[in-house]
Order: sequence, then C-alpha cells, then structure tokens
Amino acid sequence: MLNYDQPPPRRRLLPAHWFYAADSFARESEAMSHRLPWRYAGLAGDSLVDGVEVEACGGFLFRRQRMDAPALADWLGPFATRLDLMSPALSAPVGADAVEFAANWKILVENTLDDFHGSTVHPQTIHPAVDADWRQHLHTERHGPHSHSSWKLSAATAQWWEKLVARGGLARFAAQDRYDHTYIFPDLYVASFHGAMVIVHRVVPLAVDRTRLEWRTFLPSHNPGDRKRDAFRRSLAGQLALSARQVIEEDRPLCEMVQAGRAGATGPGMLGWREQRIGDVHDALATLLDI
Amino acid sequence: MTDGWALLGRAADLAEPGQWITGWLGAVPVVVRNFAGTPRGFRNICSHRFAQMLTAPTGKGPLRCPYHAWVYDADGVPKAIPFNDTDFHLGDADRQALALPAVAVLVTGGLVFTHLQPDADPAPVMGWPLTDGPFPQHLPDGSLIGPDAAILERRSSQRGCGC
Ligand code: FES
Ligand SMILES: [Fe+2]
Repeated sequence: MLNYDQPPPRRRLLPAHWFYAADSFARESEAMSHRLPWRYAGLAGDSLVDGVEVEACGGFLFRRQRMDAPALADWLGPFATRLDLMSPALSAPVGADAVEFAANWKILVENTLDDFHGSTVHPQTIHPAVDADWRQHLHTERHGPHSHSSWKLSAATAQWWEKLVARGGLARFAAQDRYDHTYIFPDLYVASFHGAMVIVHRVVPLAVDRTRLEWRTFLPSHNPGDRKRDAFRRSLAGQLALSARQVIEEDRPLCEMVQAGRAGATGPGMLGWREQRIGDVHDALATLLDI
Repeated sequence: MTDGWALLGRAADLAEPGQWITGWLGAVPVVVRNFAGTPRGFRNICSHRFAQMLTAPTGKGPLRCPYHAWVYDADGVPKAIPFNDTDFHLGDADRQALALPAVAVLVTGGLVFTHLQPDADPAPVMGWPLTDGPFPQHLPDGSLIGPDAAILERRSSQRGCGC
C-alpha cells in the first residue's frame, strides 16, 4: 500500500563522485566511523575487538561511536522491537556465505531497499514467492534512515513453509505469513521468512567500487537433538542457502550495471513514491557528510 | 587525434529497426539504436537510478532498462514506466526532463561512429581513410579495421578511464 495523501517530496540523490571517487570514499568512511552515533557490530557470541563499547538490542550488537549518541533504543526506533523479536532465532545458525560486488556499497543498499524490482530481477525466485497482489499487501515503515518492509507471502509459499515448520519442528519467532525486511543504517539488514528463517546481512565496503555482502542464516527448531528432524533441517538449510545465493547473484549484475553507469550519468535520477526508503538513506548520508 | 570520435560498430548491425550497438566513450557507456530506420545514439545509462541498460555488444529489441523496465523512445524519453500511475506520477514534461542525453552518430563506410557531444563536427571522421587500403588499418581512435568494414579491434568495446 502506498499510503500517501499527498505526494511525498522528490528526493535528491547524492552526487556521483560518492560512488566512484576514492577520496570521497575515504571522507565517507571517516564520517561513518566518527559522526554516526551507532554502528552494527555483530551478533551476540561474535568475538569483537577488545575495548569496543557495544550495546545489545536482543542478539544484535551495536557500537557506540559518539559520546552524545542518543540511546540505542531511540536510534533504532520501532525497529528495536523487531530486532528483539527475531533474536531468539539467532541461537540456531545453519550457514554463512558472502559475495563480492564490483559496486559501491550504497548501490547494494539502494538495491535491498528497492521494493519493486522483483518482477524484473527475480522473476523466478522472489517474485512468485510473494502474493501476486503484493502492492496491496506491502507495508513499509520508516524511522530516520532505517526502514522496514513487510510482504505477504503467496499462498503456495506460505503453505510450503507450514509444511516445513511441521516436518522440521521449526520454531517460529512469530506466526507470520510474511517476508520481512528490516534495514538498519548503514550496513545491516535482516530478512525473515514466515517468522521462521532469519537471514542477517552485512554490507561491507571494501573500496569505493567494491563491496562484500555477507550473510548468515538461522533456522531454529523446537527440539534440537532429534536426529531425524535435525537431518531434515540441515538438508532444508542447504536448499535455502542455494536459493539465498541465487537471489543475491540475480541482484549482483544489476548493482554492477549501476556502478558502470553512475559515473557517466548527467541527470539527477528519480525516486518514486515507493522509493522513499532509498531517499532516507541519501538524506542521512548528505547530513553525515555535510553536503 | 580523434577529436572525441570513436568507432562503435558495423552499420550492418544496425540495418534493421530495433537493432542496437553498445560501447564505451571513455567511462561513458553509449548505445546507438535503429529507431524506425534512423540511428539515434544516447548515453546507455537509465535516467531512473543510473543502471547501464544494454550490455551485449549488439542486439535487437527495445531500449529497455533491465532493472525496473523503463523503455526509452527515439528521443531518449522514457515512454514506458511501470507503475508510473501509482509510484512515479511523471507527466509529459517530467518525462522530457528525464530524456537520455544524446550522443552524435555518424554512419559512413559501413561503420558507425559516435561522439559524446551531440553536435560534434563529423569532419574528422570524414577524413579517416575508411575504405582504401592497405588493411589492416589503424583508426585514430585506436581501433583496427580490415577490408569491407571488418572490425578487427574496437577501442570502444572496453571501458576507458574517463580521463
Ligand atoms: S534503473 Fe533503469 S528502470 Fe530503474
Ligand atoms: Fe533484489
């Protein structure tokens, strides 16, 4: 649903040099490390650099970067509850993977916040998994640079998950027939399916035109130790890992094509009403970078 | 000196309406497409969120961005914008403002040349001896051609540094 009574403002996108110039990348990295109040630091149980002050929101750890940072709960806004809700799943890791993109990290973020490329980029994967009338059922919530989109799964996909939950004894953190996507600026996003599987993504900038996307998958069950169910869950996890990678591999060339085009573009670009999540990130960066 | 002109491809690859050729002018991807018999060239960069649109060296089909399927017309104006009614609300003037920047196109000697400036003077290319031997022949842009407009090396096939 696009619940706008009146047109949202047309948003300005960051100038192109923030996507290809090495000195801009250095300046941006500096701002990210020193001016941003909080930064995602990992998950509970991760070994963190000694001496780093972190605070937890459920199983998600955040590093305080500024003395005058607002309380973490205020920084995360409504998404603190969401992270907390998903956290029980984090006790059941079933896989980890990573893919490198020849693209600036912001292009990956734009891509993941883009709610309407399913039919063009993921016609066989994501698109059929969500309700055909996805536009009617899509709910988006925003808080500063963070945001959340929630999709209704297609009936077939929801049924498929129901069966998996029953056969694998999967533990759902919430009874939801939805695909949820929570983004915490600048580099964390968490996808969850049917309230059962959780995938935690981290966007790691390597250079102005190179980024690694890392993700970890969690699939909790009610009775870990049950051999039959554990075996089923393992094979399911393997299958889901392949699908997750396929989706990322579908996004990668598009991100790289944006990187290829970005430097040579002369126009301002255009964000539609449904792309306000992307506008939020550009606004936050413009403030952070004093531009 | 090339004066900015570069060999993009063979005229034979633009013979039919809908056929297109892509390449690079320095760091800028460009495309020339046959629109109902007329070759028109543009920056090959979508006006929506800047994706390079066509990536194969040659092909046939609409000038459509693969990211969200915007389709551009002979003036480089996005004529088809999925979800425009609900998500973009772009009227004619808005669309005109989002037209792809044109590039100059010159078809001569069975070859297609482009220049980033849409009004670039074609005289330099006219001076390139394209049809007389000896072959293979180096063109000023660094490309190498053979007889009958055969392209042996095409400098614009690779992204340049943009410097
Ligand atoms: S970037 Fe081309 S249609 Fe969206
Ligand atoms: Fe995607």
